[in-house]
Amino acid sequence: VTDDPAQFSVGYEQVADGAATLITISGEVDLGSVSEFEQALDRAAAQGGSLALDMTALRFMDSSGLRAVLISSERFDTDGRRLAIAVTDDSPVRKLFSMSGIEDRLPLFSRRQDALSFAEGTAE
Amino acid sequence: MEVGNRPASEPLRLDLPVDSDSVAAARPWAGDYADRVGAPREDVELAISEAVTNCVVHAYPEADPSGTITLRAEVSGSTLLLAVTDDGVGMRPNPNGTGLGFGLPLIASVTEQYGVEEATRGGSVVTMRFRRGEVR
Repeated sequence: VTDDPAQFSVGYEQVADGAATLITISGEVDLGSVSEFEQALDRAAAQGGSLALDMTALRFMDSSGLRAVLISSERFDTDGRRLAIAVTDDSPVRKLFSMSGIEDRLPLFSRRQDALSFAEGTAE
Repeated sequence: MEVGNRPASEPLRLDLPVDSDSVAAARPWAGDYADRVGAPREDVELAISEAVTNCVVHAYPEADPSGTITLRAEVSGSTLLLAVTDDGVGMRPNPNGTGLGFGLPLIASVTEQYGVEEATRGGSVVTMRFRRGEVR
């Protein structure tokens, strides 16, 4: 446990009676922290069901994290499962998605609840 | 603005080991300098993160405990200049990479100008320029 706001942390829980996984990440994702993020994504992929990825508390992410998100997204797409991402509109992470030209390829939501509803299949 | 007895825009240098944790160490170093000289912090932090990541992932195919990644920051008129130099083999494609090469395009997106050249000690030097005095 640390008070450093840059410290990466990941929360993992099953929601919707186990039909979906909610991963909540905060702090900063880069080369040094991405393996922990990838482990959570891999666990969700192995779990079955859909995934909501809450990045609203994430302060920073670079291409290391972007790569992990894209690989996971392609995996869920291939399996015909839903992956939804919550990221606030004015955050550096949202800007990263935009600059990378992949904003339109990912289901991005400004609010965590909307991403969760999409993942659970209760919203289109 | 001064930091201690030194001008805020005095050139800085930081040597880092070839380690994934060096990426996180580089960001506040460059971000704080950007703040002091009026350059866009978010852009600077992303660019330095990508440049140091490239060094760690690509420039040292063999483990090199003595390898050093050197960061330099200086101001020239209305420009902040950052340079990231490795003393390994420079920027080469990683055969084990995923092929999702976002690093340099992202650096291109957030800088006024950037370049990659051979360094005198053998590796590469990535130079990145940012405009001071405006928020992008």
